[in-house]
Amino acid sequence: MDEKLLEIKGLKVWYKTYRGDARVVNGVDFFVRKGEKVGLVGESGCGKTTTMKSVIRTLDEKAAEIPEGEVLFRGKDVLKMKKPELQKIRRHDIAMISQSPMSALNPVFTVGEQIMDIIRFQGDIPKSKAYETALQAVKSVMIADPERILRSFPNQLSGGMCQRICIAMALVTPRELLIADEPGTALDVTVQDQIHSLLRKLVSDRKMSLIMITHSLGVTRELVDRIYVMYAGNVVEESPTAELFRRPLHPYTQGLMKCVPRLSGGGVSAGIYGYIPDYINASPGCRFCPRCSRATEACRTRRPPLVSVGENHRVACFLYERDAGKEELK
Amino acid sequence: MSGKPLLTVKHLKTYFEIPSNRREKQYVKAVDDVSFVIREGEVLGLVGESGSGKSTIAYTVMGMERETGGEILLDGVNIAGKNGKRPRTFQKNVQIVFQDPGSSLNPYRTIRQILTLPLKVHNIVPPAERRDKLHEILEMVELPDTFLDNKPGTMNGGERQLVSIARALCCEPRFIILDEPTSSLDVSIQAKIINMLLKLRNEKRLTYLFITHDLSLMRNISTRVAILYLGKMCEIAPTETFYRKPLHPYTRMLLSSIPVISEEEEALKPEKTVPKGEIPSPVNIPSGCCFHTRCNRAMEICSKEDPVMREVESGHCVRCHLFRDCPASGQI
Repeated sequence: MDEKLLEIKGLKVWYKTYRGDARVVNGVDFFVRKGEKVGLVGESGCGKTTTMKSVIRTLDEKAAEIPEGEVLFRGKDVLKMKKPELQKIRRHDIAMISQSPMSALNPVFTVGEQIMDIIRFQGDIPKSKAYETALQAVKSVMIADPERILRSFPNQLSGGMCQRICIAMALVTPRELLIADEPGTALDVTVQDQIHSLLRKLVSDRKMSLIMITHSLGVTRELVDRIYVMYAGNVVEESPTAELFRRPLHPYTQGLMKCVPRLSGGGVSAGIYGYIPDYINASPGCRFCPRCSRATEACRTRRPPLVSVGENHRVACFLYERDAGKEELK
Repeated sequence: MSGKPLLTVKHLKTYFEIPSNRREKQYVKAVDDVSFVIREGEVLGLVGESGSGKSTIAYTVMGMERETGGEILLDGVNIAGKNGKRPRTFQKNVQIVFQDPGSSLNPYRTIRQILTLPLKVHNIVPPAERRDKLHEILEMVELPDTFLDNKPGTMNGGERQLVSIARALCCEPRFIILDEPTSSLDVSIQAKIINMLLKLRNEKRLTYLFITHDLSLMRNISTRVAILYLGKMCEIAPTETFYRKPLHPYTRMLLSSIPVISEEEEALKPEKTVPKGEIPSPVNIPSGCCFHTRCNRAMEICSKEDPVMREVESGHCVRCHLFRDCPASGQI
């Protein structure tokens, strides 16, 4: 359980633009243990998808550059792998589910053809056997009438159904790590709920690791064991789920929690002042500092490192740097 | 439930014809016999899944779609004009803010041009005072004056949505329809826009019809909530009652599937019902009560007979056979 399956160290991803380099991922440290469910939370544009895309190297290599960092999968650096080795990882170890199920499926092939394609890509498998496997996969994601679904084209199915197919496709062969990129965002709440409970069940049945990318704190609370909060290309807080909701420490996490409308009422908070910063001429200091009400001079010039403030709980904020030191002294 | 009725919708139907070769015509019944009243000063939340017809109701009221049947009254006066157009006074008094500020603002116009048009059309202020009026409106939505000569493409989603709100405010309306104004935005920006809307409501005494799929958001801003399913209304109640005692099985299913962030909220959710299936196609609406295919309390009668709206307690109306004994509701 303690073994780190995937570890990202100091990852930086820059996108080349005509104005200069946009530093979208600015030094991210991240890890997933075997069998662990981890959430990556942040608002749009904070670099969560970019980080995860660099894990399976599906970034557009013409536009994106990785100047620094390591992505270790079972101790081997994915970023340095040659194509055959990388293909092997994509084929057998890591699967990713994308945000929009409708556009992730090819509209000109039936669902069955697409699933069977993946199965037969694994090796020399006869068509009839592949069909059986596909049928099993579709059944495992709670689809009634799987034969009909295999014959259908994606446009004949609803969004929730397509997302189930995507999950089935990701899991036709045993995988060790599943990366789910906002699998419920494009769907209605009731369907989202179904997809999430399906994921929860599949992941625990097969003892996989899960990385859940989402912008919703509520979703992570229901689904994962540990949460990373990202803001503007940095991990600002990292904590076990229960601890994070009991004691959010980073001013951004606190602000974000206040912004979520509560079912218990109590009005809506004022939001977080300002907008996300420009990634091209970003300041050397803390990237949240222009929006932070507790910013000091140090925040403007220096980037706060992640410091430990409790068991597995780490924050990147100068407010806690002194506390962290004290704890270590004790 | 005070205030006099501002907008009354009676038995509204909006059907779309499907092109087909069959002899009998097929329709998508996007809105099917919906009635409600919005009183002055209210914020009515209209909630439903995608395809439930919530946006179609907004578009029909605005005159962007033509109604197939039913009546819409503003201040008790029917607003059906010639060839489906709405009268000019209606256009001035009722405004709409769309979901996607990226596509509802003309990318080739500056903010100044976008905001000046409604001032000209409705002749709100004499031409000489337009400049001052523009500054006043931008100040209301707390955008800096420097934005006036920008185009929407240079602004982020939150700022664009503020411009959309400013545009709606230009002709000094009394009633604004907000069609998912924050669903494409992040929560920190959403909070900002919502606060702005609530502030404007107090200052200008506005009435809102707030369309959304987010029940937690509605809890915090609406005075009444209505739930739509497949073009029909399932339940409508004052916010407090609605969240304390949701009655319709669909409402309970919706509420129980919301992801929340605290124990306190968890306790407020109805007992967990596992959602079954998805919203069916509006072309082939199930017989009887259209929800019976997904309902966990469906009875024999549900697939045969469509229930009518019944008033369970004052102001709390439900359309479900479980409440057969309650009196049929009048105006809601």
